[in-house]
Amino acid sequence: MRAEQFSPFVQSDAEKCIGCRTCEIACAVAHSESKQNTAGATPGVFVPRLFVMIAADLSAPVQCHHCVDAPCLNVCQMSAISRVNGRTVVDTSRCVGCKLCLMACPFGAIEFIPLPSGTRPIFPGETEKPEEWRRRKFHRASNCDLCVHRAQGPACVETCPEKALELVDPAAEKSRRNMEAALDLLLQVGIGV
Amino acid sequence: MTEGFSRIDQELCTGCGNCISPCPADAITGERHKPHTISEERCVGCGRCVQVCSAYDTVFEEHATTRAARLEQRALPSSLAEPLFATYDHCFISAVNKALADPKRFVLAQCGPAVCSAVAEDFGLPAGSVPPGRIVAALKKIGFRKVYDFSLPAALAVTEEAHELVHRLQSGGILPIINSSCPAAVKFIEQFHPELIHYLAGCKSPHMVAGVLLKSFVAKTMNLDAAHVYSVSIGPCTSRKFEAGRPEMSAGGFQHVDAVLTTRELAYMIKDSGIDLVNIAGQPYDSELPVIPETEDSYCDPGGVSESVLRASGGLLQQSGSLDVKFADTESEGVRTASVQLGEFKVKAVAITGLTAAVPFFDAIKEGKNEIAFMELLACPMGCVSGGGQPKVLLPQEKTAVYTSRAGVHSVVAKNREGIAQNPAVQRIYKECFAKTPGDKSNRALQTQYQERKIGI
Repeated sequence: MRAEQFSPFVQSDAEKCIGCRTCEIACAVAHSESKQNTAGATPGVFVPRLFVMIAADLSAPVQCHHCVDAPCLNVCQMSAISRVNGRTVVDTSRCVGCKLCLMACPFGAIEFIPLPSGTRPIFPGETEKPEEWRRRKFHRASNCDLCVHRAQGPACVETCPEKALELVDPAAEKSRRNMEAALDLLLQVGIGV
Repeated sequence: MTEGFSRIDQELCTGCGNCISPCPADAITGERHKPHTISEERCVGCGRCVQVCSAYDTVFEEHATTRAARLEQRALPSSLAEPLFATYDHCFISAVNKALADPKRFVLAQCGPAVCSAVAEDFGLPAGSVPPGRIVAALKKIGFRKVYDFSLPAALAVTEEAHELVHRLQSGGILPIINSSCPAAVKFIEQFHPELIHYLAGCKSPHMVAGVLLKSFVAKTMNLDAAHVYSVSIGPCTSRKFEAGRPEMSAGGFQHVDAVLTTRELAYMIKDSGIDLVNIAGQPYDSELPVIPETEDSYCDPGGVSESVLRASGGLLQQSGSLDVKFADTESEGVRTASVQLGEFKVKAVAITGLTAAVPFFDAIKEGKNEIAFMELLACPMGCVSGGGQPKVLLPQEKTAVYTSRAGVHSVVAKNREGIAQNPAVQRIYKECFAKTPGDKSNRALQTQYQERKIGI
């Protein structure tokens, strides 16, 4: 099916991105169980599904491309990753945190979420007793879900102040380029349009 | 005190530059993708950068400084659970806790209306849904001995400014009178437009007046020495942090305000103490500084101060009826003007939000082309409800709606603002506390002085 093959994904433009991380915040807020307008209402850490990379002279967020023949899906031993309506989806209840999907993803788009135990957020570098660790639901794979639960679509695209994020419809993009190329060719050959 | 400026954490800043254009003092510099810095001497403490900063301590990257160490660096409670952003202002919570633990100190607080409406948001609740009484109760449980409302100090400040406006109008004094309640505006003028210092109203800002009262009038009723009173100002504002440390904001060797807490910091303290803000039973404000309905929310929304001062001026001129002060938008963003008849004077007032929007008016004053009699100048985009210390709205597209809902919490009921200066509680304070008549420039309790602040560059 064309829709299944050319499923949409969010693409970032490194030339426009300023590295402000507002997309990460919007993503975290959109996936948060509690309603939060303000920093103070945040129940612990921000857990986004896209990650802004800052290099010496550029920045861009990286997120799941919803690959059709997803390496993460192919490598998962627990069948936790599947294709659903054009999206590559992780079922966190099946995930055991073996990290093979993280190793397989060429974009590094899979992350492992620290799930809070009760209301206390987990920060890296904290030492914890083994019995506490075993009690936690920890380290489950997560990726961009294209904000399928949001009427307005991806939160990151909506919020980016620089309009550096775009929900790409690959089929429409391909058609647009085909059309441009065809018109270009006609002009070169001298057929007036 | 050099704590009153905002700072940027060099580990967390991603160099996005979003803080640069909101800064009215051009205090922030840096290259894209590299950590930015704030010039301590240029910063006016308005906190726009703190509110706009979106770079935070993501748990998906390694930081050289641990979370615990960062909290300590920023003097924040170790129980704090929310993300930390790159830009921040210094916190006085540990100083307040120290005073609370000191058996020889009586810690008194005064709390503004913009706090009470907004603090609910940092608990995930809608603005205005936590009645002030519950905040008073929470503060008392934390250990504050008395908690006062802001309206009587505000009424004193309005009275002083009204007297000054009337005096300048009647004696041909310099105009405009520039309202002095925004500490960022005052510092901005001292630093970048020092020729205009004399246009500023001479009276201290309302929360500073509250501090004066706590250490004199209230201390006396509690049979306390000013030395044993620790006064805490709770408000939406970060620029107060510099203002509180000004040497001139003191009497008898004691600062009027010992510590400034913002709305966000109030929320941190309540959460740190484990108080259930939803279910705690409310308590009234303490009565030594009675609530003055006429100024209950004068200092919240843009235009409120102007309206209060203009109408109080009308009252002083014994004009009959109440003045209709209506501000209208102009072509310039953040600038609204109003025209009123004050006695024999036809007076134009301007209410400005955003310090840089005032510069054309400053230029007009310097060129002798001024037409304004009263200028209200607030640093924050929608006045104090959008202050630097208010709950930090996470998504840029939600800011206006959130600020508007905070402003909507405040009453629009018409008040007898003409009667502010004649209010019996106000009159009593002048008689018993200051032994000066309202507007007397020699009243060092209420009047202050400004200074030119030279900037290195």
